[in-house]
Amino acid sequence: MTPDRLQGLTREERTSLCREVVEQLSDYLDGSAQEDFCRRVEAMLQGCQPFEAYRDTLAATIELARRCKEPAGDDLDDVYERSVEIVRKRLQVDDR
Amino acid sequence: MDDEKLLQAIIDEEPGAFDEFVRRYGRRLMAFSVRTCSNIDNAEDVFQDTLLKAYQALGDLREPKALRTWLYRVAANNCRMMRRKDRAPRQISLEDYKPPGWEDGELIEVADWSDPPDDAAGRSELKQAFEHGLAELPAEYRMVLLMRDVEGMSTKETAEALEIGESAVKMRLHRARMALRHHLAQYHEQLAEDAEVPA
Repeated sequence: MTPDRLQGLTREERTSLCREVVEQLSDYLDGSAQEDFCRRVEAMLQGCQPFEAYRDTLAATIELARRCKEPAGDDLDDVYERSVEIVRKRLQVDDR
Repeated sequence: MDDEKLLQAIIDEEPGAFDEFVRRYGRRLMAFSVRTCSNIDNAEDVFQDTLLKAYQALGDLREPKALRTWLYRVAANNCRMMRRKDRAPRQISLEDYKPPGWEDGELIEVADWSDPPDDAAGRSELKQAFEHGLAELPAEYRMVLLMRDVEGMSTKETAEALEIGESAVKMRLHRARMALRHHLAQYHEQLAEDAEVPA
């Protein structure tokens, strides 16, 4: 499936563009990519469902990481409290 | 109280300074240690050592605004020390996680699972899949992803904390995200397969 705006490109040109876009997709999603690169990404997106899905699922991965602040584990609170107390004693601070 | 005042309170040994320090950074450093070590016993040691070393050395910190970056540098170095006996660090190759069809410049079908689950059980399972994927990343990539995406640090802060260049941060972050995306794609693929199996 070739996006309309890429129809005139050779296979090598499409491969090169595709590789460049995929390799720098994080910069694009983070808003730190240069303007002309963003334009190339937009060109890739025109009518290309697989690339849209790839971009959207990478963006969803990043969003999930941002939401998952706490690691899983039932006993982490106990470990945390115990560790803080151990350090408090070692530092000999008792200022609660 | 901002970091500058907190730092001064610690240096002056003011009552409550340790608790404020722990309240502000303790949970985050614990979460970072647990996920970086992938082993609760090691994580406990790393967390305690980080708190202890950091608190004792805070007076030497020249730039109070860099407190958070400096704390993560101490934690990252402790994690590296803990893992020093590990075999040679694994690298992530972009080739392993490229979208299907990119060699030909024509991507083939990619499943779109970007909408989050709308039920609590689905969200909980997705979080588990995320944790598994995170644990499978090589530690140096995992630390970058944790600092940038989970802790919300900038590229510059992450580079300073890990004592690597900003371009290395960007490269590792992108590869870590792609590897994690690949893991989540496999999870969603399995979900779809399970849904097709008749009860």
